[in-house]
Amino acid sequence: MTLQELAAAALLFAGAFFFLAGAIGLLRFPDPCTRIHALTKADNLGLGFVVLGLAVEAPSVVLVAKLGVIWVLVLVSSSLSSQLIMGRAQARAPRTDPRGPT
Amino acid sequence: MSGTTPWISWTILAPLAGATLSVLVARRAVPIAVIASAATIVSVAATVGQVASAGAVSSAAGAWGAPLGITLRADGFGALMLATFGVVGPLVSLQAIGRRGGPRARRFLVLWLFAWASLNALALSADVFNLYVTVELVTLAAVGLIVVERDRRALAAGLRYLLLSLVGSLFYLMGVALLYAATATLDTELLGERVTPEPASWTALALMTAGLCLKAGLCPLHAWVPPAYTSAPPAVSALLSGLIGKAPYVVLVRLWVEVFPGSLGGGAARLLGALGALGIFWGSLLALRARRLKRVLAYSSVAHVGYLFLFFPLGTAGAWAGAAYVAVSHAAASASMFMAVEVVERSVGHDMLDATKGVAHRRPLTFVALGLAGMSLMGLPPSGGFVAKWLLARAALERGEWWWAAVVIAGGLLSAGYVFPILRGAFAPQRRSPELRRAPRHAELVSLSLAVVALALGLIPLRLMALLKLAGRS
Amino acid sequence: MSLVDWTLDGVLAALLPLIAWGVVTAASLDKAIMLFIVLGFVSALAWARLDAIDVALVEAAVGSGLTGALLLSALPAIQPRLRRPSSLARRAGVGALLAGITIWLGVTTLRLPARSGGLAELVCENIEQSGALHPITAVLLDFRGYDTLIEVAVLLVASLAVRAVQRPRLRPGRRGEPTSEPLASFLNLLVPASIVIAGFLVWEGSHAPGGAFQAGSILAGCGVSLQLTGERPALRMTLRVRAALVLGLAVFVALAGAPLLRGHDLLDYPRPWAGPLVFALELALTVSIAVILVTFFPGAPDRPEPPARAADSP
Repeated sequence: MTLQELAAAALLFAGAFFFLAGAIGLLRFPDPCTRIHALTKADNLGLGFVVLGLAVEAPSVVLVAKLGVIWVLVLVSSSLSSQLIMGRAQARAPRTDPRGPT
Repeated sequence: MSGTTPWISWTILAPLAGATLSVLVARRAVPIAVIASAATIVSVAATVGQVASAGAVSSAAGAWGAPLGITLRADGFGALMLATFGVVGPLVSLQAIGRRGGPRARRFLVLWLFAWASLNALALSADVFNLYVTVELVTLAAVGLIVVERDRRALAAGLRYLLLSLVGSLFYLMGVALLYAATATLDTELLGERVTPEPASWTALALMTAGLCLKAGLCPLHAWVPPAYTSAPPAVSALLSGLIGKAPYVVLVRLWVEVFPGSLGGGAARLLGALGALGIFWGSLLALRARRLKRVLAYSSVAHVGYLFLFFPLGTAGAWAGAAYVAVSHAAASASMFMAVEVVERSVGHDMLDATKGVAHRRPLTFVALGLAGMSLMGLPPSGGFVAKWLLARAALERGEWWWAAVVIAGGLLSAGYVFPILRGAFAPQRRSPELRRAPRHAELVSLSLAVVALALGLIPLRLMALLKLAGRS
Repeated sequence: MSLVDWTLDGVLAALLPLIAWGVVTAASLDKAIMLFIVLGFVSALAWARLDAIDVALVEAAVGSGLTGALLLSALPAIQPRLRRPSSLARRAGVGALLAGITIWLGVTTLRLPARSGGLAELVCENIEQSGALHPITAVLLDFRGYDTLIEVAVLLVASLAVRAVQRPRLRPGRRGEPTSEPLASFLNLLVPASIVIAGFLVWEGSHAPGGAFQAGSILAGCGVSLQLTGERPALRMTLRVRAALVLGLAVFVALAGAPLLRGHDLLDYPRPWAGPLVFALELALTVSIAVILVTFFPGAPDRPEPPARAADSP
């Protein structure tokens, strides 16, 4: 295994870790705010690491650029959708749900 | 298609162009529809003429030809259906043209032009996937027509028809996919050569037949028929029951006769025939019990779909002619009845069975129409309905399967049971003429002309039969 | 196939029926719609894995994106009336029937001869003469262009039928809630970007996956976003809008009819011009498909309105 492959594997595992953490957070956190927080971690960091890991192994610069574009697009859409979801959640129920996740 | 004028393509493009233009210039929809209809009628007449004089005409879309491209082919059966669509449809659409403008009339005309283009395309298509596409256009145009008056009940009925119809389409499409996977072609002629008795082709036939039976409203899959036919405006019901309801049957016939000729007369075909017989009895019984004129006609349509399916177990040329004749004569007779009901409903304000009481003296044209079209529905000579049922019964007896003939005769008796009350009420002596509202004169004339067509069909069967024989099959 | 491929395909294959089951059994309509949107995306992935990029694009854009938006925007009007559970026996009967059909279809499909490449070879042999270098575009707009002609008519008729049943009061420009700041600035980015992407997809369509349907649905997505966020009112049937609606079909009918006047078969493009003609047709179709898809949306979603009223009005 070369150093390059090791680095890629480590980055991919890091990405997977954040996805897992994000998914657990989404399921276990008590209210929309914290859930969104968990979810955006998966999008930003998780996908970021996965993209980095793939970029290390990518055969061409163009592919690296494409991966970067994918990451930016997901960042834009996730930040926007979290804004919208939170805006709607606050408008609808200004209280936090004490019962936790259902 | 070297040398001859490409009328066959114009029968599809003329109404399509008219429809497109009248969406764009909605205000001028009526004159555009008149011109487009005239052009289409000329094209249809010319195509039928070509077929009658020189046999089947065909044209390869994009000049590719099967199996790569799609072939349009007008054989005897196709020409017969073209002629039916081209006579009954424009007559019915006259009532919208007669109303001169108005958004409803314009919407009706645009959708009718689309429906007409797709019906012609369906009658001419020689490609199982293209048939699917044309059936979809027929269906959507029909849904548009059902809801054309924005009536709530019609909306529910239209949606129901749409959903069931889409299920039917899905089944048909699955069958097309299987056939394509098994034979690598979609052309009906090539399919007929390549299909072998294997699970894939049997499954395809079963799926496609089931889907089309649902779309055609074969009993017991007729649940969508009564609500659609009764809640749509009568002119739309006339088109639905007379023409659009025949479209899935045309596809089914193409499938069984051209792709799976070996299955005609077999076990599955007998099942179809049995369901047809069930439809004749069940539809007629419900028509007998119905209290509203439109309901009577809707159930009578269910029964007549049943006659069409008697062709499959018999599978002979005679039965074929009979079924085609049922399709043609029912198209004219049923459309005529629905248009007459429109007049009655407008005059009296409702369409209960007793609405006809005493109206005969005031609306004589309508009641002549009801009488003549009713004769054809019952199958009394010399109407088209009589010839159709006689041909079917004879074909059954020729094959020694008398029970199908018994079904035909019993169905005729039952239909007399539901047609007579309509007429009896009309001609019953009435001391005092009821107050009548103004009724559309156009509808009266349309109804009468359609009834005359239904009657005339009984007088010229030989010429039409000669046309059918050109198909060169069965 | 490597282990990764197997795992990926296995997960996709397992997910599809699971999600579909979730759609059917979801406790509420909004959950069902959410799962339906997910189902669309997963099947788009599956199509992409099967190398059917064109199908994947359409599935993601129309099957999942636009249909999901349409269902969600219809939800407020229908929620109170649905979800009447049918009897267990009936559900079991329907389930058994469908399961039987599915199994039978599966068995039949597996027993199909493996050779079947369909008409692919013939398409590749003739593609030089056609109006496009991408086989799917060539089939859609040349070899089987006649099918597409009728399909475009189907779309237009669907749009007319939808218009006939829309509540008239929804049609003239109604605006929904005021757009939030980040959404507005995002739309400012989205619209020009979508137009560029749509243009790119049409251009690509002549030699790679892409084409009028994909580009049209992306443009439509853009239009629908503008409409649902209240940035733009619902379309009014002005002459310009009607012209855009019929443009694709009109060009198609003209291309079909012109050869007839010269004594050829319908849609028989003059061969040296086939490429440019097909491209012009794609452009026209893109515009029409986009506008037609947008007309399926009645306008901005209702501001909190009593659901009963929304359900009662025809």
